[in-house]
Amino acid sequence: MRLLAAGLACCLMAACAKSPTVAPPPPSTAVQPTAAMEANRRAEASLRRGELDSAAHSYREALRLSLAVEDANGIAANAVNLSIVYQRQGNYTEARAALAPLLERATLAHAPAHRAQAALRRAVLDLEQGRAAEAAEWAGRAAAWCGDPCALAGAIRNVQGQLALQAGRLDEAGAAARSALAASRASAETAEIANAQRLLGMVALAAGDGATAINALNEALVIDRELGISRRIALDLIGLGRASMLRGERDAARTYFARALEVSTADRDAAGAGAARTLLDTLKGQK
Amino acid sequence: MQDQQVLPRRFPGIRRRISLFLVVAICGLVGAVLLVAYKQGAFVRHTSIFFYADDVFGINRGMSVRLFGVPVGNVKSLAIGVRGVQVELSINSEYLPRLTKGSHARLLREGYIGQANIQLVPGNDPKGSREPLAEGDVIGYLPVRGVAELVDDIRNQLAPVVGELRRMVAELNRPDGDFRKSLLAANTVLQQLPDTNRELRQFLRDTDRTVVAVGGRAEAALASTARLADQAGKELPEVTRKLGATLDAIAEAATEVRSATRKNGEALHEALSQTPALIRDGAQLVRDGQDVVGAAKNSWLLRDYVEPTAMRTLRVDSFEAFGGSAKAPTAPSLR
Repeated sequence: MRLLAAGLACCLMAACAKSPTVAPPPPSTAVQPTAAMEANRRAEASLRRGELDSAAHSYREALRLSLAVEDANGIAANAVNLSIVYQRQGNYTEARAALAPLLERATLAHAPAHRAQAALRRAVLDLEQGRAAEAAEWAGRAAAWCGDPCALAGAIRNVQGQLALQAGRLDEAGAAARSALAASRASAETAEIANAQRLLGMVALAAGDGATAINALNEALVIDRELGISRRIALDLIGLGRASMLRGERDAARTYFARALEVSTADRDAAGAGAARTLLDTLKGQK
Repeated sequence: MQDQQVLPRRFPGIRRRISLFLVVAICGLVGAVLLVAYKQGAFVRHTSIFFYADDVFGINRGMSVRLFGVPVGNVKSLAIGVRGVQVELSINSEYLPRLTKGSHARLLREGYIGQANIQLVPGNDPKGSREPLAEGDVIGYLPVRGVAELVDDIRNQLAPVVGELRRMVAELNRPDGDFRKSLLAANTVLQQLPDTNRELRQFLRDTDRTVVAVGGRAEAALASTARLADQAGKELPEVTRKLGATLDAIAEAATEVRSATRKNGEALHEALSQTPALIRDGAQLVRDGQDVVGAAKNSWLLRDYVEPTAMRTLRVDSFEAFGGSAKAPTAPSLR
């Protein structure tokens, strides 16, 4: 009986044990260079602290290390991250150049999803710089590379909707926003759901439909509060204030603008605070 | 009957002699003319050069032209032109190589009442050319300043000096001026000088008497100082002995401090020398820990619950253009 129990225990221990030496190596795509990954994590931590310069430095280092070992996943991730940081710094040329290893100067066969991400980033950059034609072209490429189903479909449609809104094609913008909303809900992309709602609100504002705008922007505001993105909250509040003005509710509009001013001031966003203050002054001047 | 003129026999050969005389006379005359022409330079080649002057007072036709004081030509003609009076100089061609372009002429008088002549001054061509003057060249003319102009110039220069002298003299003569006050003060001082001299002599005499009186007291003071020095000499060895003991105690304390410091330094050195090994051990410990954690992650109990390590990609936000985390949001154009 003792021997039987001991044998059973040995079998159990043997089943639990797993020597790392005999384990098969992980697939090459999953192996990430430690140094590049450490730089990637450092950059992420810097970004959380709001240290954009430090984040850009670490992402540059991570991208260099990834390029040095031809790590396609690392190149894609760090190039996209670096372009985002550069854009937040207002350095658009560098932001565009950071994406080159995935687009113009790609020497590796990157995954279509990564190329779609890079193309979408280019579209967002061109949109910010007012290059509507280039933005539309890159958004189209992003959609083509992303395929179907596409995890970026909501973001791509939102960008296309913004381009249509800027061009004054309200119907097209509304359709794109609704499509983005559906795609984002399908992929559970909360931030893009908020963006789609905000876009719907903007389209409604442009169409003079204050009630629809308020509904959509309130939806966006709830999500942005959950995500804790102060500048989007301020943007939603300003949109709500405009919608209230459209409906003739001046007191409500004043409250929204005052809230936007409060949020921007607390977030140390001088430009946002300036915009909210200007709207408040405009409202006072219209008395 | 035919009258035949009969030449007197007393002038035989007179015709031939007269002819000879006439020939000799004519030859002499021609020779004299040629000599005069030669002396006048008729056989010397001349070159005409020109200059223009506002006026040619003192310049006449035939006036001698000199180069370094040597006559080299004369004034050939004077003519009034658009640029002023054109003066033509006839220059002996032999001297032309010494007259380069950029030369100029000026009217010179030998002394204040001497004969006037034109002096040529070789000059440098502004373009740097050393080319000699040629027929028809125009040179510059330096107008001579007349006596009246010189006097005016001197007067203009002397006028401020004279004015300053006048002002200085007026200042000296002013009764309430500094100079007069200084003179009065100096006069007063001079008048008081005998009294000062007398008082100074008195002071010197008083000083002499004082020194004599103080001399005795100084001797007494020196005697006191000598006594004090003797006393100090007696007490100094005792003080020196005590000071030596104190210094010995200080040296002993310093030795102890040095010894303690050395011991501490050795301990610190020991600690520092062990630090790399400790760090290495620590690093090895961390690596071992990582290996253990890695092995644990790979075990079937945990591997399903551990997120695989991978590069993290930031979310691509479609509204990044309206302000990310750092950029100010700009409301889209709402119509």
